[in-house]
Amino acid sequence: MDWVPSNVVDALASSHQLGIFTHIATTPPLRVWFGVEDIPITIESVDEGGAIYQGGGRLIGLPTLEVLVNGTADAVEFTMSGIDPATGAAVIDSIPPVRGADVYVGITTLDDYYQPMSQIIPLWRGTASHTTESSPTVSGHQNRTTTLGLAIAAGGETRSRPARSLWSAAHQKAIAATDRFCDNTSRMARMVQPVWPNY
Amino acid sequence: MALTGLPTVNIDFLAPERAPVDVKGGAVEGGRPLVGEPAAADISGGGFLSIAYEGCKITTEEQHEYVNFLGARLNGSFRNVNVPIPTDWWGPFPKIGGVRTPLVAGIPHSDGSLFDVGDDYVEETVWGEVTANAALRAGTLSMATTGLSRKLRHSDWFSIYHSTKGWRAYRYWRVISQPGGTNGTYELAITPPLREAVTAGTRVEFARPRFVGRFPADFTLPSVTEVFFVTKQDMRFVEA
Repeated sequence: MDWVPSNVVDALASSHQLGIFTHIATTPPLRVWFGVEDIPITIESVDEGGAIYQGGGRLIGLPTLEVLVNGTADAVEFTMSGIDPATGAAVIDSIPPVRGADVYVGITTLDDYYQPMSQIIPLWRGTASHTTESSPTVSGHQNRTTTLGLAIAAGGETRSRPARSLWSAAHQKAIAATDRFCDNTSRMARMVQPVWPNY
Repeated sequence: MALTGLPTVNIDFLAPERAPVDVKGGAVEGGRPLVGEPAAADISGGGFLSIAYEGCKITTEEQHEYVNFLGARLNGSFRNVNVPIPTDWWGPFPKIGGVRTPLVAGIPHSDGSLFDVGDDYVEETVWGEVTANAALRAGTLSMATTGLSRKLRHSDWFSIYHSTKGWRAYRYWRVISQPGGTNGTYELAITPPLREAVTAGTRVEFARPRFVGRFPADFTLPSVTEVFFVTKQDMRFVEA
């Protein structure tokens, strides 16, 4: 079977209902989706049967996620605004265990009767780093908002090492001492088009 | 933040001039293609209800007290209240004396007497009963109806009292199957999807459908006292 089932691909090709889901593997896991009210659905082999994703809200921001392909490790911040206190408390209460927890983001489409057309298709996986909270000062009649954030890193994210996920020449030479295949990987950053070396 | 056992806003007492009800979704569009409209994606998964009572004419002392009560209870948007949807005029209710009647009042005890304080029984003229268990977030619902004055055909509001989510209002957007007569077992495609699982036998209320609501976060209800003691107020609610 394809990673994204063909019926979901077909639905995505025209106007559709999209469900976006996040799973934070704390104990117990925090499951939030971007719609209104709860939905019973699972990520295969991640959620146990009968899992229910909470309607995280009407106002929730998902950053652009970059899939890591031998490039710079990506660190993103997920934010939730206007959430109910119970959902927010579940994140805040779990600050120590949330560090290092796996975070999955997946999608699926919904049919005319609001039923998911497949199990959640996990598209992105990261590792939770730390939570943030901000409540900017407002003046006059503006609305006060509280934003909870969770920084999530993909790739090598520990503090003792820089975020690095490319295969360095040293790695390669440890395996094959004379192989110079990776010698120029340090020049390959995003937005750079390296000149093909002429040995 | 209880969702059950809440008081209901007395819409008859407030008598709004206008009450728009809406289900808010959230659609996002892609870029505009060369040939016209882009495809849209709804990410709300069914949306949530909102309603406004516009132009409530506040004249009597008790109406002023009542508005003060609503503001006192609901300002800050964290306490809830049941909010009825006025469908009396066009719902599937029988006409009694030429007027559509969702509720019949004035019903006495079997011996003809009323309660000591003069109260009577009130009964709905139309109701339904769920005929098959439906899961959380089901998009279709089977129900047997009693007392409809016409078939369910285009769309009507109805509500269900869930054990933890309280009153929730739904409407149907498609009649999948219908009985031979006016009343019987209908299968309906509903929107928004079920907020909580229901079991067969759950009562479905057509008279004054209602949902658990709160004020939107950017709204508060002031208590207004105006010269000559006549004022008009608007209030807005969203699904809690």
